[in-house]
Amino acid sequence: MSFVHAYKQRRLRKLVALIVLIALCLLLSVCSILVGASDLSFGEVVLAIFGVGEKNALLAVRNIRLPRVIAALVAGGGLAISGLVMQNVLKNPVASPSTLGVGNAAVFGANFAIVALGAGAFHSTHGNWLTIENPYLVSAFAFFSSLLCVGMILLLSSIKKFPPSTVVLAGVAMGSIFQAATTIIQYFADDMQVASAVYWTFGDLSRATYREDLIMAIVVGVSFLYFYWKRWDYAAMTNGGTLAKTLGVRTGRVTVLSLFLASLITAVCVSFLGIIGFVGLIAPQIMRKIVGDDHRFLLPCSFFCGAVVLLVSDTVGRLVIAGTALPVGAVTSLLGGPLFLYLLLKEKRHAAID
Amino acid sequence: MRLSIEHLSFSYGKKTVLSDLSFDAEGGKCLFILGANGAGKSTLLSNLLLLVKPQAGRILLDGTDLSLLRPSERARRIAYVPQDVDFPSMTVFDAVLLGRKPFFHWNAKREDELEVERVLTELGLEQLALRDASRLSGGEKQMVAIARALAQGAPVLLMDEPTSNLDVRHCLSVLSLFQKLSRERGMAILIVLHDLSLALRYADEFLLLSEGKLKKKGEIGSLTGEDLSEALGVKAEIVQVNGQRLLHLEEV
Repeated sequence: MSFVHAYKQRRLRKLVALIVLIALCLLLSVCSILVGASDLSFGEVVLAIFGVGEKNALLAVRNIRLPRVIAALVAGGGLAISGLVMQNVLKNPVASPSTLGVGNAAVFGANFAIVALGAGAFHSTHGNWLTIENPYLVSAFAFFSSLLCVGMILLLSSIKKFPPSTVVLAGVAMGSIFQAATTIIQYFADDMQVASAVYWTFGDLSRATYREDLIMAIVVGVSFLYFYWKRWDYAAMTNGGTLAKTLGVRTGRVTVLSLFLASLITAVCVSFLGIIGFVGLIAPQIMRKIVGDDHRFLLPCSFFCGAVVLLVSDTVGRLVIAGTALPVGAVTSLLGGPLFLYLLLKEKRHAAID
Repeated sequence: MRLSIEHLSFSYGKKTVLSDLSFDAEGGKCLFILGANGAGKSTLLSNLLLLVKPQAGRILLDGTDLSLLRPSERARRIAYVPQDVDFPSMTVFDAVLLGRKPFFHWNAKREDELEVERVLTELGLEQLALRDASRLSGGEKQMVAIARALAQGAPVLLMDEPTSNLDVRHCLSVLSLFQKLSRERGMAILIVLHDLSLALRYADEFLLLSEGKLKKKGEIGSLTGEDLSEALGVKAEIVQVNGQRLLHLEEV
């Protein structure tokens, strides 16, 4: 049958696209470690990643650069699949990892820890740098505040059986409550505390050590497996909830679990790294334009696309001004925004491989 | 194979939509569900699919209560073609492959793809296979939705106005396909249809609903003009022309 053959060819091309993305990801990782560590060669960096080489190179690569690159890959990929699943389940193309108010809730938690519990302060001894005295306390508060937000929305939506559009509205409402609470906390805080709190919200990958990387990787990995397992359920659900049910999908359960895991990824990433916007919105949208709504490929492709976007943004952010790094959250939007506009402009209303 | 509906009742809030319906649908027959707007036809389908929870009554397939089955097991037994069909941006092949979803464990298997291939060929949709389903015409979408339901391979097929977007030629060919499928594969096919002329021509049996109650059920030959007049609020007359039963309608 000719159409079956053509169908398989097309699937093969999508697989090639995925492999290219993975290869790009690996290559960019090495490049990202390479730039800045100017005295190392490409080969030395690759060897150092695997623990071979002289001591200084090993130190620079394995203790400083590598955790940061891993953070970029895990958080970038994680935010991308989080955004993808939000868009799927909420049937909303502009849904993002923070649609349920997770970002605002995390910022509130961090502000509360910094201001009310005194976890952050201005330290002149560190030159001009603001530091957070107790980063784990701040991350913990950010995380639990996000969970509280998501938990309440999901509880309300499963009790009242909200349709997706209502879940989005509940997210907006919850987000603005947390934002208002943050404003009030900052109103009563002193200058230094506000500065620390604002500084905390700037996404920054240098906060990640292997420990943060590991925690993020576990959350992202488990979620990825669940999302991938449910790829056919999402495909059915994009045909409408009623139809998905007649195909045997437990739409309610899949929706709640998906939203929970997607928000969990965001909560963990934001709590450790601060706000990193836009990756979760554009990475899935870019891949949708390339591989179409084919969830078998859309999920892994979005993951690696998000990883690439965050990695490139972080690397560029480190290079633009010598000696300092621009907040990566701002760089993702500055780089990703124009790229996305370009894709919209040249849109053929067709997936590239479809 | 027998789908038995026993004392089914359903209401939206205080408004009773179905009251105490009992009937059987047998394999090998096309049962057309007829009735005025708001008679409860679509609600009946929703109940049979357990998209809503019946307030009372049971739905049995060969003695098995459908509400006790897991959703995927139920989906292997009842397939559905909705009235308004729409697709996201996916190929027709993938859209039809979704009909095999109830059989997937981790992924689609080779036999699932073979089944899709077979159904697309059977319905003459080979040329559409790689098209973007979201960009098809209304009639093409309806054909793809029918293909998906057939790929599901369920013994019971429910359809809500499956011909609403089809031109006359496709309309006739699809309805005779349903007739053929029910006879050859022993499927029970339940079709909600407003077009009474088509029902007279293609139904084996009919079920006439009026305000949520079962007005009459039987062989299509036993449907009379008076039944339709009462249930639909029109003046209906069935006349024999060259051995065919034709419908004549007038406003009251």
